[in-house]
Amino acid sequence: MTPARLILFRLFLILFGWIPVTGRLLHRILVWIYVKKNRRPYGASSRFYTPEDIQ
Amino acid sequence: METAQVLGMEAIRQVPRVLGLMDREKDSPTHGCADRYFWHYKLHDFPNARFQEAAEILALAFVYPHPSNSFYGVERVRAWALASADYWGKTRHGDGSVDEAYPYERSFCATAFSAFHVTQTLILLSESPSFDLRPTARWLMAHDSPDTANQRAASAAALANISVLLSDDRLLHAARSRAAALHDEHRRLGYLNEYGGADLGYTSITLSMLAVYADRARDTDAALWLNTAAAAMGSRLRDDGSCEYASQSRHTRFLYPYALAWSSDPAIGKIAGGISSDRILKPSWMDDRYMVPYTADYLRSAFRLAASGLEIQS
Repeated sequence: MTPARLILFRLFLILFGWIPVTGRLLHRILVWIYVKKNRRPYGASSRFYTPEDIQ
Repeated sequence: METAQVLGMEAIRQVPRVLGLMDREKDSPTHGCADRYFWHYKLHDFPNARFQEAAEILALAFVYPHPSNSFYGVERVRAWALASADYWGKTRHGDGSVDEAYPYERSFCATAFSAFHVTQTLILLSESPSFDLRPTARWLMAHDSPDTANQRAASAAALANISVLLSDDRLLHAARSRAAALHDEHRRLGYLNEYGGADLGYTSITLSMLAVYADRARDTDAALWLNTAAAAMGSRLRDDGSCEYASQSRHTRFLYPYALAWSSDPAIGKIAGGISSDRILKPSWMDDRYMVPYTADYLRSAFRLAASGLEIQS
């Protein structure tokens, strides 16, 4: 890669590299808030099938 | 033990697992969703439509009369099967397609297979759809997946099922065209194309789908061809039910048995023997995602064999 292309590539990263990084961070934060808000009052292992479900 | 019984028991043992995957709480906004990772653990941001294929397992469990089947005739099981089908109906995109891997994916594979299993459910339970199937039929007619015969076969079977449910001959014609295209490809290549080569495991899915299609569409030409293709597949099974997979295009280790059950091929007895002796990959060994359609195929095979009264020993 020529120095000019390298500079252009770095410039590209500086200009646009923050978009996917911020996007992923924002996505994780939104998922965390959603899970917190929608947490149900029973444990994760609950609601499996047991024979009394069809009695 | 009798083949139908071996296949049926292996499949029925998965029903409690399938019910555990499903949101069975009536007042829940995700009632009928069978993607536990979405509705319960909330590890996924959207439901994988392929889990809704569990609907057919429950419908088959409801209609499969066998002493080992405690779900036979249980109204709640029927209601859960329909809830699963309804959830699929309401989570589709406006164009009738569904997602599997990421939001707005509009997956041909997921749309074809999930539509097939959901429509199987409605036909088995003699229920009219509570949602409009036409967008899905239109989407399947407008899209194709030339590299994967199994997905094309699923779309043909789904279109044939929808044509039965909606009494629409135009859809039947589309299903016939797709099945004929697969037949042409088989004649031309000598195998059913799976990403540029032949693969016995995926061929078994293709033949399974086409067997259902041939019955729904009353396509006698396809039935003749399928009988020969199923016999060829059966002849490649070893005595313990296993098959050579390393040279196959997708290195598939499973084998869907329905085409063998449909054509009353005695090779299905080898599969039952392989299950009994733990020599072949069976539904209980698979992850949740693959277990669902595989179990449906096993139970459909058992139901077919039991209904035909054919006794094949394993």
